[in-house]
Amino acid sequence: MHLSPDGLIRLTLDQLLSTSLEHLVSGVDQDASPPFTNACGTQTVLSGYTEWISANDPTISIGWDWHLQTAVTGVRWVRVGLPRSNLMLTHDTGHDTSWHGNLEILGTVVDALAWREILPDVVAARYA
Amino acid sequence: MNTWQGDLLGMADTACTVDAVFEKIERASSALGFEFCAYGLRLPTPISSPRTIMLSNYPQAWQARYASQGYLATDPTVAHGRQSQTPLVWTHAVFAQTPLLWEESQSAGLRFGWAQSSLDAVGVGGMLSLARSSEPLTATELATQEVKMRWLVNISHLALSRLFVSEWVKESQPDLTSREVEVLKWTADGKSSGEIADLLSISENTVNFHIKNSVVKLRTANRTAAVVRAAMLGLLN
Amino acid sequence: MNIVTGTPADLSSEIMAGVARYRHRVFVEKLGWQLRCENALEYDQFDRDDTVYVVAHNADEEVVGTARLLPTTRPYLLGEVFPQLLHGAPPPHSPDVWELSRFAAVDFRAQGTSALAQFSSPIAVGLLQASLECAARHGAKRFITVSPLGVERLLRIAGFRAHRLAPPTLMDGSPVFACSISCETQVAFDLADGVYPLALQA
Repeated sequence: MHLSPDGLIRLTLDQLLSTSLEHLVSGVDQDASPPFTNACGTQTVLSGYTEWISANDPTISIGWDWHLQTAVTGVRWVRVGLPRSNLMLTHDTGHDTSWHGNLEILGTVVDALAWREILPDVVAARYA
Repeated sequence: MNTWQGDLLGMADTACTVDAVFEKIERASSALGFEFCAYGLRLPTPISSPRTIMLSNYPQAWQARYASQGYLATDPTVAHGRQSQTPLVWTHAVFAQTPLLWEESQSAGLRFGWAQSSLDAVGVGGMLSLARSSEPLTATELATQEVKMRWLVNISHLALSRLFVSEWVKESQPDLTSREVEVLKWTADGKSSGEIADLLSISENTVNFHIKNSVVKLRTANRTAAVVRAAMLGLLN
Repeated sequence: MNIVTGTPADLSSEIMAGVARYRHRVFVEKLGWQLRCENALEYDQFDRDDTVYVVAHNADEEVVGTARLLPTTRPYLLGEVFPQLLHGAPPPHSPDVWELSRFAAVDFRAQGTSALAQFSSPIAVGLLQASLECAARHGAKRFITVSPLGVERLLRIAGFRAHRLAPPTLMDGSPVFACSISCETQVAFDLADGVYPLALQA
């Protein structure tokens, strides 16, 4: 794992999965535009962002958008879109993955974090 | 990427047989320190009898016993997986209500285990169980390994659901007409046949005719079930 | 919208004065930045003879957008004032890297919403694209910029290859970060009729 001159941290998927990531900050989007309204009878949807980091240098930074999905079975916290980070995953050969491929893989990694378990409390605490 | 993670990622894209996919999951589980793994995929329709596909490398005798005893219906880890996507470590307490299942899996060599379920946007559920015959799971091990285990759950779901869902969707396509879809959508909104007739400027008889056809095509018992099934198949979007 | 670029020597004094007035309206009056200014004109120690400006005018020759470009081989904002945003990494010092600052695309005639609206309009995208091209003509391969966190999402949606250089830092309660934007990217799609995403509170 190393910080390259272009500002990206290059590492393999295995290295990333072996690095412990912690929650940094999360927030809720304001200025929601339709259809995310509070009108009576329609679904209220909450959306926002969440940011996570690693403990050691070089500091990994990864963030993504989420929204709350209401369904018959209850409420689910769902990732929206691809993550944003300062990472570039490399193959064992050392070559970069593609820009898009990198983001898709980061998406699968982010889905493996325990973010849904902690986000409800974090958001409630920040906006209490 | 030549590691087990890279292998699995490649598989999520390219077409593969179920056996080939499961073999990779098995290799990954082994790399993570678990000699046994099992994957259950739950296809949610027909609602009266959702289908669960089970793949595992558990000892054959145990797989047969599990099936003949109908343990799928009482397994507390499966019940937990239906309620929640948080991981579960096998403990005596978890199996308190099913002591026979616990004893028998212990004797079969499945002594220490971990399971986590996953749920996707179309309602397909999956659950990965990792188990072994020696060495209990410790907090330290989970602290370092759990992200990789959780990632394995997600990537397995992606790869396996892709294989099964495309088959399932193909055989499930009920081929509704656009008018039938329209009528079902209004029904989903709570409108009666009379109200739908007014909205679409057709007779109430015609509305009921469309509903009856939809019920038959969707292979359900009544209009409510038809609406639910159509929604689950993503036909009312 | 038409765009001109250049150093103070290349641009007329009227254009330069228009930029300083516009920057005052956007950053001091609208966004409430605490900057020391005289006569409602905004400029600071990074407005030098070698600073490159990108200015957008509407049909009535009013300023509707502006950006300031600085080479990282001389003092620049991120390096001098906000190096902590790089979390210990050394600020870039290279002819390949230019800094974008005082970026604004607020059309004062249109209805404003959040402070980040300046980043999500067609003027903004056009201005950013022109800035990237201008910097590329000066040898830059990428930009760096200090921005509110929500900008990264908007840049991505607009098709720019942008990524953070380090974790965001809370400044006055809002997350701010150092961003890198590649000059090699084409704007992915025409935003003339675009529907814009939820605006993040700055």
